[in-house]
Amino acid sequence: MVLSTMLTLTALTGCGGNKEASGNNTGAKDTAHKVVMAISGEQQPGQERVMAEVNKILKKDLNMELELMILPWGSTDQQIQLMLTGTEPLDLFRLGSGEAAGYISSGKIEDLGPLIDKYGKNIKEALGEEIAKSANINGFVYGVPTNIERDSTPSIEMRKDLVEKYDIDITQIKSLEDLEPIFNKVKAGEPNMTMLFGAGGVNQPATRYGGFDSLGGFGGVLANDGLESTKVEIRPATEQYKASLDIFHDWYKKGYINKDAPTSQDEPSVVMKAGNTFSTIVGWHPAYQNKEGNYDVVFAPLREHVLHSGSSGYVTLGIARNSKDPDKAMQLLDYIYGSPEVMNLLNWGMEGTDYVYIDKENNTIGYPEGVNDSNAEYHLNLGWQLPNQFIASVWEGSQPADVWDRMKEFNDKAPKSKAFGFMFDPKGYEAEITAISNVNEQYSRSLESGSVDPDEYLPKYVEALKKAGIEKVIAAQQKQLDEFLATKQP
Amino acid sequence: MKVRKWAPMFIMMAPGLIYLFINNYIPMAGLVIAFKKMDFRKGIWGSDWVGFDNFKYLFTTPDAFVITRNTILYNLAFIIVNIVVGIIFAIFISEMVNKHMKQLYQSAVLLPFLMSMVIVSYIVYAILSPETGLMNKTVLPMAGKDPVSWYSETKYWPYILIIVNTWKGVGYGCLIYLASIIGIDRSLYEAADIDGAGKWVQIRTITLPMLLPSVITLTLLNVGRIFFSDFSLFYQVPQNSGILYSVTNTIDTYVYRALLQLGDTGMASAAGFYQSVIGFLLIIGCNWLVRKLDRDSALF
Repeated sequence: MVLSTMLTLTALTGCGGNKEASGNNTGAKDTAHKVVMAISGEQQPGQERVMAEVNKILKKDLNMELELMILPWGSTDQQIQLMLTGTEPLDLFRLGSGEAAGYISSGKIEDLGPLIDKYGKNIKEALGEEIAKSANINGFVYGVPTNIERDSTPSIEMRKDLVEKYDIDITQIKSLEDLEPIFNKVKAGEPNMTMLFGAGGVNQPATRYGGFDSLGGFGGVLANDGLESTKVEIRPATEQYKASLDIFHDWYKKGYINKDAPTSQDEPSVVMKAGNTFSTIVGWHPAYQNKEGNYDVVFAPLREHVLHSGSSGYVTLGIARNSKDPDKAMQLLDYIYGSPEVMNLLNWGMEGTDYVYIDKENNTIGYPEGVNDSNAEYHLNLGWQLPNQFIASVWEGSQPADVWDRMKEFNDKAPKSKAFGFMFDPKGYEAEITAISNVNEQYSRSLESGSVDPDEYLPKYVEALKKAGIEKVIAAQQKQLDEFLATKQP
Repeated sequence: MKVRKWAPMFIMMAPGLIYLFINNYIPMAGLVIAFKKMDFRKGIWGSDWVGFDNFKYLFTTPDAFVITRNTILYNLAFIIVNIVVGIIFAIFISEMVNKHMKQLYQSAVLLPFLMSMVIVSYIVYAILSPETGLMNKTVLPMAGKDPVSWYSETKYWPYILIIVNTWKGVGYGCLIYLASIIGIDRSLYEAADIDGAGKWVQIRTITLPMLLPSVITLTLLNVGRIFFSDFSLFYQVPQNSGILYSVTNTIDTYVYRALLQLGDTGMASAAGFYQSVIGFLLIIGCNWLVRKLDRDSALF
């Protein structure tokens, strides 16, 4: 009880403080509307100073103010949930396709479709008409995608020193099968080393290898990245899935894959640091770092880069139901999509203090004299969570200067799944989906790490999915997809 | 007259009662969420009623039997093993002559109880890890046996979970039994000594019967929680290994995995509601039974 009183008190004083602050800033003139935006990251000591600078620009151009809330990584989800359930002021926040369906059905977010049409000039210019409103479920636009990679290329990431030591020609790697002789060769020289690392729910070899359009992940998939057929299928019942699992299981038996892959929770970067891992499968894109742990790494693509149904909806900025004025929030968001000054301020801080131009022509920047990673007052470096990093400056050394041109090309050139832009609305199938998620949790990690025999476990997996009612969900997905495809046809 | 007599008692109870009311009774109004399709636009009271729809997923799944069976059987095993081991430890410790050793053992037994289950799960992992674990690296080779991939063999896990739970939880019960044993009138033992009763007879005829009320109280409290499982024990300790679900999936872990994707408040509340109602009925039932057998030991 003491705790709750204290919380209420701090909440009250907190609110009071905010009001005062905004009152002081705006002076006697008209009051600027304040928009609150929440992202995850590390607290920046120089935040107040930088935000003052941001707000100078926003007040002049929009008569608005931005309050940036940087929430700790570990507790962001809970804090956002709490804010959405209560009445705390929150306008813009980061959300992905995973949470979107739940937020929509429980009425926690605004439909952005009409707002983008009304105010989204810069948004449409930055993302293109198709992407701007692509993060939607049944027409309900849950967020505006940030400008980042759209899906990625399943690639093998290998330690550069070992690639050179064993004289491996990485240009010859075209598919999964090409890796076998390489593992064989390296394993012979480094018998105690893990050839291919797998862990957790997303870093398993077969999970990363992908090859399916998972239609939001609620049940059915389109085989072969959705490039050919639009028939929704059960993933473990497809030939394609079995073929890749056969390879991974073979590798697991040969000791190429770490024995604890199905239960390990380690991040690849952490394991790489320990020095006894040769490679891991990753989703590569032009802004991908060339270092994992302490080691330089090289990449070779294993599959084609394809844009899947939800590929623009993974990282988006949505508007909370709590927002006092969603129109104003959208106006401000759209402004940032078109403002390199604000983007640079939010991501890199103030010129002169937090960064200096190294090459003005190529738009690359770096730390000023005497400033580095450990004493920087403001160095957010989280462009993927901010609206439009493509128009901001590039940090010298971490990325090539033309990284965003390459990224644009990467995104634009990729072939699209036939279901691109489609999102399944799971309403009415909650009971089946809960049962399916349990079955997936039970089987996918063991199978996708290669640790169990696909011949024995795949039929069990399919059987369990059918018992959980996957056929009902797939029928619904097929119906919604067919309707979506019909509207797409000219 | 009666009022005057009890008034001071009620004043003393007031802070506790008020706390209980605010903390445990007022939130019960939130149980309506279990019967609603939560829509934050409309609020808790304005959301639409959906009857028992939110409960469906708990019973229509093919796993319904497995998770219910696991939850109940594990909890029953935990209750029994913890009583037996707890009493044995308590008797051993109470019979110890060296005072310092007595304190040392008492603390040592309690220590795991204070540990977070996440830490426990890594201690277990250090023992069972397929490549570097104590069992596969040291114990089994010494016994001349082949290594076992612990995290993919279901047959060992009922024992592992019971052992881990006992190791972690026994200290708490042990402490309560120890307190009861210390409270037993010493003259009973002296009388028994004079009558020529040995240690074993003393334990059987004095200690155990005197412990019965504490055993009944602890058991009744645990029975009320029999439909709730220790989430971290069943999720963290087996490292969320899918192959083991048939022996490690309980109602709580099932609900967690089921709602990972949907995050539906109503369905989550429905699970909690269901567990509480069953727990409530069980505790009423058991108490009724106890009252029939031994009126004084019943909770209410």
